[in-house]
Amino acid sequence: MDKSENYLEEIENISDAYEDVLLAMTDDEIEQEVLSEEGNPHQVAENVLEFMNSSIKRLRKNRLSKARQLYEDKSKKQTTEFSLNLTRKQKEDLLLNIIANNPQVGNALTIQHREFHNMSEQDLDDLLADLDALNLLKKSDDKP
Amino acid sequence: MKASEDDIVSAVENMSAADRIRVEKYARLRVNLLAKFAKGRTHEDLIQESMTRIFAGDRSWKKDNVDFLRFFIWVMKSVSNHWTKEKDAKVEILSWEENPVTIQPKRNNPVGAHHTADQLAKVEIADSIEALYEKLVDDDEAILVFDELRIGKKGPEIQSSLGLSAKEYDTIRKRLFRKLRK
Repeated sequence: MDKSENYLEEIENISDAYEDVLLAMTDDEIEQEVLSEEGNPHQVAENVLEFMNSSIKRLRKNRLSKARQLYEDKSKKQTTEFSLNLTRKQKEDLLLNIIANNPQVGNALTIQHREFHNMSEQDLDDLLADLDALNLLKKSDDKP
Repeated sequence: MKASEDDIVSAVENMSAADRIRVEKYARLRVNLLAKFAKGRTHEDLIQESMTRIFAGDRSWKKDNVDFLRFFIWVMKSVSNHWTKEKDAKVEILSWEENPVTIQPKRNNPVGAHHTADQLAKVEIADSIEALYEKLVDDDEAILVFDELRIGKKGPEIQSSLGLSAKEYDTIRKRLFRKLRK
């Protein structure tokens, strides 16, 4: 064993001894010790939570970013599928069919959205993608 | 059972104030013990890096076997232990302090580079030990207990070899750790 390993082993011994001390102390003793060192137990605890929370915030941000990417990829894929497979006339017929079979959808659409011929091709695709996300396309799949 | 990310978040949020203080105290002591091996990192860095490692999946918490505090202390120990193995970083830092011309490892001479890193590690160890003893200066009792703990002796054995009562030992030990944390 070289000097470096010896030293690191000694550090482990001291750390382990301290871990035992910390775990054996009561919560009250822990807080009293901070006070006796002219510290503020509440502030120390808050600081630690803040250090830990910064990692949690990063985790949540990553999750949100992944979910957003997944949603965007899915929407893009659906839009692309409609764009590739259907003519504009077929898309308009499909929408009319959905509204006929689902009156609540017709009520929910704005007047602007009910006049499909005024909508851009992209808006039409996006609307179909949204209706697909609501599982409303499946009932009408074989009709257009 | 391996804890999920949500289990970990929940454990952090529900940690008692006293346990958070335990985390802080342990992190401070650990960084001070590592001294030069910590390469300028602080207790805050240790806590944050430990959290990052947990979420990255590098350290798994088996929540049925151990509580979150013990698990987190283990992660801090493991993460900081990893710092001591960063040979490249060690050479880089010390080469700046010593002599950049003679100490910089050469790509074509890995044996020479390794040898240099070992030499530099000895400098780091000497400096680290000195830094710890400086914290205990003028406290002979604390130095005696420190020397016994370093070699792995446990409480009752130390009390017996130094002729201390349990209360005396407890007082000195608390004082010792307080000084090492500062």
